[in-house]
Amino acid sequence: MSERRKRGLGKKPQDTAGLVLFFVALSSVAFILGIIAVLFVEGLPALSHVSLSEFFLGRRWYPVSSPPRFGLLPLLLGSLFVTLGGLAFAVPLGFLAAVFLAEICPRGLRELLKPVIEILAGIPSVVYGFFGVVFLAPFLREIFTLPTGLTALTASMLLGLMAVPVVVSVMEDALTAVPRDYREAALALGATRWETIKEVVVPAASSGIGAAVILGAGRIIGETMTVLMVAGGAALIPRSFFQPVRTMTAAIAAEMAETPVGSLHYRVLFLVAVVLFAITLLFDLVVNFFGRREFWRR
Amino acid sequence: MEARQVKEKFWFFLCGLAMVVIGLALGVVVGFIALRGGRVLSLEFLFSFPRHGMSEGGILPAIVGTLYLVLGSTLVSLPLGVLSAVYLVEYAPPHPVVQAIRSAIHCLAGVPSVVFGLFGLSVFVKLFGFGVSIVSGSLTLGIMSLPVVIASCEEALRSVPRSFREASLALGADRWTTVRRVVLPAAFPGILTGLILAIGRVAGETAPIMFTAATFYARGLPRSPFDRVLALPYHIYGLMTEGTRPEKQIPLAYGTALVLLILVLLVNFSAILLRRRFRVARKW
Amino acid sequence: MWRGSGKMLGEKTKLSIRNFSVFFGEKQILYDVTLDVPENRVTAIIGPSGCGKSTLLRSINRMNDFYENLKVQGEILLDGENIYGDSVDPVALRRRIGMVFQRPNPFPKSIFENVAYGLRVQGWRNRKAIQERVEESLKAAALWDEVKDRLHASALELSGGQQQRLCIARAIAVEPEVLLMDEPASALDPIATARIEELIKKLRERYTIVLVTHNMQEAARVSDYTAFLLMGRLIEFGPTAQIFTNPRRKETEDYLTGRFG
Repeated sequence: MSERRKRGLGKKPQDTAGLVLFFVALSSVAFILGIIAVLFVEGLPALSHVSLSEFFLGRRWYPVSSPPRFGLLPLLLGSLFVTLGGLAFAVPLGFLAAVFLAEICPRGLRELLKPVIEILAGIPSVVYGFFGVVFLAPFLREIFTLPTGLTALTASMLLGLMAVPVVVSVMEDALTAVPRDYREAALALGATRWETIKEVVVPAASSGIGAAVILGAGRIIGETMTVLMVAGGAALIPRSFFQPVRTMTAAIAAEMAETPVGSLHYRVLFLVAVVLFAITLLFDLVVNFFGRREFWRR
Repeated sequence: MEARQVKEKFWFFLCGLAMVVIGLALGVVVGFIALRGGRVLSLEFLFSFPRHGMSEGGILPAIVGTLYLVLGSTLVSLPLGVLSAVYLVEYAPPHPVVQAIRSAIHCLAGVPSVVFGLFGLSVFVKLFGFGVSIVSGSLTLGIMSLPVVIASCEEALRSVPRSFREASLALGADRWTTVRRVVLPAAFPGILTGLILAIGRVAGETAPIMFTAATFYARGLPRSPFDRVLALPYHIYGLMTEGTRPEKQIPLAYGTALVLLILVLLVNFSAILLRRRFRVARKW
Repeated sequence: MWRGSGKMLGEKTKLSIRNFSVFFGEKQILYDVTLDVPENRVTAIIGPSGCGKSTLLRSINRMNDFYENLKVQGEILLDGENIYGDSVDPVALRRRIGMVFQRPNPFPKSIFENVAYGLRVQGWRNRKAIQERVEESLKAAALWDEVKDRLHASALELSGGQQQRLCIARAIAVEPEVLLMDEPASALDPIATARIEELIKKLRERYTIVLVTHNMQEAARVSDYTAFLLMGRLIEFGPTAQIFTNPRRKETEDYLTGRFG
């Protein structure tokens, strides 16, 4: 007993573990700053050869002609085309399917469908690209009698399909998060189930639904392999969805392999990456604006 | 029937139809590749080397290469991810720096994969001089999957009840001991789930390894971490775009795509199964 | 004004709470509480919910340190040493002051490992010594006979009452000097409650016990001294028999007779 009494209250120790963990956690900050730094350090020197206005407003992307032309517009519009096209497939399909999952389908079926969608969300983009080349592109060329099946439309369809799982699960989350009382209040006033969904549930979930759209857009615009393989790769200002396009990501992936490290072309591709990064950052900010829930976890 | 009810029927039908369309589309993708790839798939295909300038033979080096990359990236993302998550859940005071860390993780999650590729090229391949190699690719993929690992670890750690921590602290354990002996073991299945999900993503990525690790031509298996490798996703791309005999290469691409698809879907499936088991099994 | 404080005659003070206040952000939870807890006695803290009794209890082993916005004022002396002193290591403090929580919270480990946990954390390596101490503690917690054949079964398989006794065994295995109990029987059925109360009375021989409870009968049954807390203020403190039969303050009487609370 008396031995026990001798225990003092000790000296406050240094929390070494906490300090070490803090520095480990800082690694994410280091990585993101590192990425930004690398993009700028590698890309900015290009601006001594290509003016900002030429880069942003130039309508020609001829990286290997002499003299080379580095106009971003064809690539930017190419990315925009496939992103909008992809959303045109993913959003309506995803929205209706999310409503089906959250509001209509029986519980048992939902418990089955959700994990299936989750599993399919993992199909790698190169597999979609491959499927596009060997199946979808020839198929669409037949139907629309096009000179080539590798078009913005083909890419849009695949990108849309690829984004569907994210869009569905984020929207479904948003819909199920709407309190039950809202629904019951509307139903008790004599609204049909569809009217309740349309008038009450969907408006209440609108910020989550908006976030899902932006999230889908972010995923599509950053997507590389699918567009590289099926979008056809023509760096022209696109005028129709039946034309081949080249996106920013595809340009980086395809041209980086063929350009000497440190060349002007190499640096301009990093500049393209700066633009791409800025756009995804913007999307990220918009998603945050819709409410910082951990949507990106999917 | 009232007009309102007809309207409801119509929209409900449309919602169901959308689900069916999605299911059908995904089914066609998977089914088509399974059907065509199935004809090529054999033990020999899995376990032999490519021949005749990649236009014949198997894909053993690509499978091995992907395994190396997965393993290498896990060595990067697991320790960094778990420890970061521990800091964020167990230690982080409400401080601007912690906010910055959270924003950085958010940002990292949104960076397009091809940008990671450029980062890896510039830093690991060039600056650090690792060359196009397993090491460069693993580092790049590891950083890319870091947000996924952190997010699922955080979720797993948060699911451990506060009362466990309090019991341990009240017994005179310090925070780190509490984390190590009580919280991490209780969160282990959740952490494992997150790790498996990250592996599924890493295995299928092409863009980050295009300039950092992958090659289409290789004679044998890599002999050192500084060798370049074949990898399943890049091999599919290579079979479609490089080489001299496309007509012979396309069937190989079907087979490779099927192998990659099976691998990734199986990994995702096991992660989801594990998560479900864990949720049912735990009693707290 | 009579402050409900003071040393109990003929008792040795183990814990001395001096002008102790707690603030949570802008809100004050405890007001200037002064109270001497006698050694080897059971001191009950009673009061309506929200009166601050749990906060007071958790201040004694500094479990409140983990709340960011919480500030304390005043002192708590353990054997004369201020536990809120600058150089005090809360971890060392908690090795001397054990705690049993409102809901049983065994770790998802075996029964044996639960009890051995505190020992291992303190650096015990000798297996035989650990085994002996685990057995002693389980016996002291009146659980040994029920679990001796399945020490390596999961603690989560025990009943609620058994789990709580396991938590008590876990707390006393490290031989604390003070044992804090935060409504230890509130989540249990009457039979399990009776066993816990029995145990508390026995543990008094070796430990100084501070027991928070909202159950007045429980306080009356097991405690030697009772402190009555109302809205963060200590209203009255004295021998349990006196508090329950002859309270000096009107608030105490009102509470005990069920007029509010």
